[in-house]
Amino acid sequence: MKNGAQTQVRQCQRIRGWGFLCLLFCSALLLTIPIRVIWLQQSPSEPLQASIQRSSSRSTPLVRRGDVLDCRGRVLATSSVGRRAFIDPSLVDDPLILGAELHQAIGLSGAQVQRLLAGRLHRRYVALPNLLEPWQVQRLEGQPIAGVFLEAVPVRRYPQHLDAASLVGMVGQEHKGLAGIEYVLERDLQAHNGRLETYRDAARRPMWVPPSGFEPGMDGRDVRLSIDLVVQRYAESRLTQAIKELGAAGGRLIVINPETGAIVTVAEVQTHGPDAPTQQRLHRVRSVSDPYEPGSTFKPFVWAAATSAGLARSDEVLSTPRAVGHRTSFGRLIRDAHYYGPSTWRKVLVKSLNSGMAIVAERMSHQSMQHLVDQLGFGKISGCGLPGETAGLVTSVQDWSNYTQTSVAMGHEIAVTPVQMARAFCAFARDGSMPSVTIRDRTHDEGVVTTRIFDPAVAQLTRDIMHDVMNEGTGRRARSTHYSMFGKTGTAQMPKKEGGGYHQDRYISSFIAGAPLQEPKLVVLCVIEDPDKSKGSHYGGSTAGPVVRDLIDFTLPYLGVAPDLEPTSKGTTNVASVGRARGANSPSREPGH
Amino acid sequence: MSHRLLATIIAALLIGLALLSLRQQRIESIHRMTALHRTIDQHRSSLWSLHATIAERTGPAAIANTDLPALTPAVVSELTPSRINQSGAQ
Repeated sequence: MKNGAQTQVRQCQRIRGWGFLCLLFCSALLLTIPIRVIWLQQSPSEPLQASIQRSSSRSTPLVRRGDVLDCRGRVLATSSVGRRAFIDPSLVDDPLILGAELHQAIGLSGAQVQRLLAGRLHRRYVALPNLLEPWQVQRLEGQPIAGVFLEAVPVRRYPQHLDAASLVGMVGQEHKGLAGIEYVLERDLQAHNGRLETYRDAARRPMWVPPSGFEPGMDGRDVRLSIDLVVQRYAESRLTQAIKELGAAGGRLIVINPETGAIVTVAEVQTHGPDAPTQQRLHRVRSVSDPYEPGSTFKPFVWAAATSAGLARSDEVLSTPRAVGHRTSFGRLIRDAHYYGPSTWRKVLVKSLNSGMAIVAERMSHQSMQHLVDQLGFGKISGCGLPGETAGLVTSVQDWSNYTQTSVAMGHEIAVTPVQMARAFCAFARDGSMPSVTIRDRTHDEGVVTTRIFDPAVAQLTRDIMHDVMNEGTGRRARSTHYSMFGKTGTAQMPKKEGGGYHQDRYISSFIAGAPLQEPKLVVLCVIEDPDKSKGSHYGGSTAGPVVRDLIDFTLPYLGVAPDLEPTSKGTTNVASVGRARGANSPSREPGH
Repeated sequence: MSHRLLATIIAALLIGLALLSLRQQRIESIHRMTALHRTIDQHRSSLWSLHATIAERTGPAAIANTDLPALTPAVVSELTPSRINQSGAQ
């Protein structure tokens, strides 16, 4: 009995012992699984490592370069997504068969495929050269080819085609700005790529994103320019027409809003033959890069400075010549286009008399003339934000002579860019202060930095006299019948490229004007280069003047500025004493010319 | 003792199953997330294409080529100062 009980106890102990051992074994077995997992994760073997790498993929979420917009939000440049095919040579069994398949699917020749793959069979990514057309994408999606994949790539599109092409510029293969605004504002426009790292299963299905595997991308910022596309289009077409009619080598036209300093239009035309669209986008913006001698359009600045300094009164009669010319104190003979005999200081500006300007320039000190040039921003970059801007050419203080003093008073021996010139002229359209100019949208006057150049009274007086230029002076042919304008013509001889001196019969004709007279909304400068004399007049008033007038007649109604002239029965016009009715008229599409 | 051990093993198994289920859920979520990323990219891509097309078709050049009657500046006939005076008096 006792033995039986002992045997039972021993059996129980044995069972318990074996059971314990089994449990211990199972527990150890279970424990090996997490240990193995940790082991594999921490130090996988080489074959496994390769397999893990193959099963992970890194992609870049789509990000978008910012749009370039005009001042009213019209899109000048935008980005969309194109599709490109690429080959993974490691998945291609026979390049010849692949070539045949690609030829059948998307029309790519077998030879092209062979060239692409030559020497690249060890790579994992060989992109086909061009973006695919929608039909090609459809075919590749419908009938996939082993080793050929589709990817999305950003494409820059210019919805306005060649309008403002050189201004907007273009991007390169890497979607980075190469020229124009695209280049200058690259920092604002560029997008920042994100990252998405995915582990995939054997069927390449996304399975896992590691904790640090996702970084969101950031789209580029849209940039709104001060350019108005409607005005730009009109300016380009009108300038092209003028260049054709005048047989000129080229022309430049710039429109600035004097209140805000915003550049409304920069139009440029050259007649060196047709360019491919890409080349047109790569042109430099000549309105900021190529200086020219302003000629008589510079006279109002000297006139206002001399009047401001009390060196001449507007009704003072100067001893301007009746014929031949005026001999300066240092013996230089100054000629005029027409001779009127002794004339008032006012008439000197209205009739654009070189002799009168020289007489008063000699009363000014060199320092005050240099100070004027410096204050007006000539010889300095305007900082408007357009690419490739140059400072122009101003004679240095050391080389400034009496000759320079009288030349500069007539707009010679100084070279300015159209942007500098138009900006300086804004001083007359304002209260004598010159605004900072910009190509970025500046709808209101915030951010406008102004520099006081003239007293408000002198600026107003000069503006009134420039209004007389339109009625009785050199700007008669540029007079508008709808808006009162103030302006100044300029006709400068073209400098020779080699050997110094000037061409006798080649000119740079220009006209600069503001309108309306009482509350100017626009300053417009047109520069016509080398007009053909045989096709008519070469003077600024009759070549560039009508372009400026037409632009004012087109743009002011478009901006909702009511005309301030009332047609009279004789066909002439008077400044009407009516208030403005802003926004009263509807925007127009095309001028009535 | 054996009961406790058994309970521990069963608990460990249950915890393991729960963890596996959570892991599976996570994988499915990530799969959905990547699929959503792809969908977002597709939508963004088509949106940008539409944006560019709209920009092209509403630009001044495209509008000028429509059959709509050409607008002329109102300045010529409608906004002469006398008319403004009249409308102001009314």
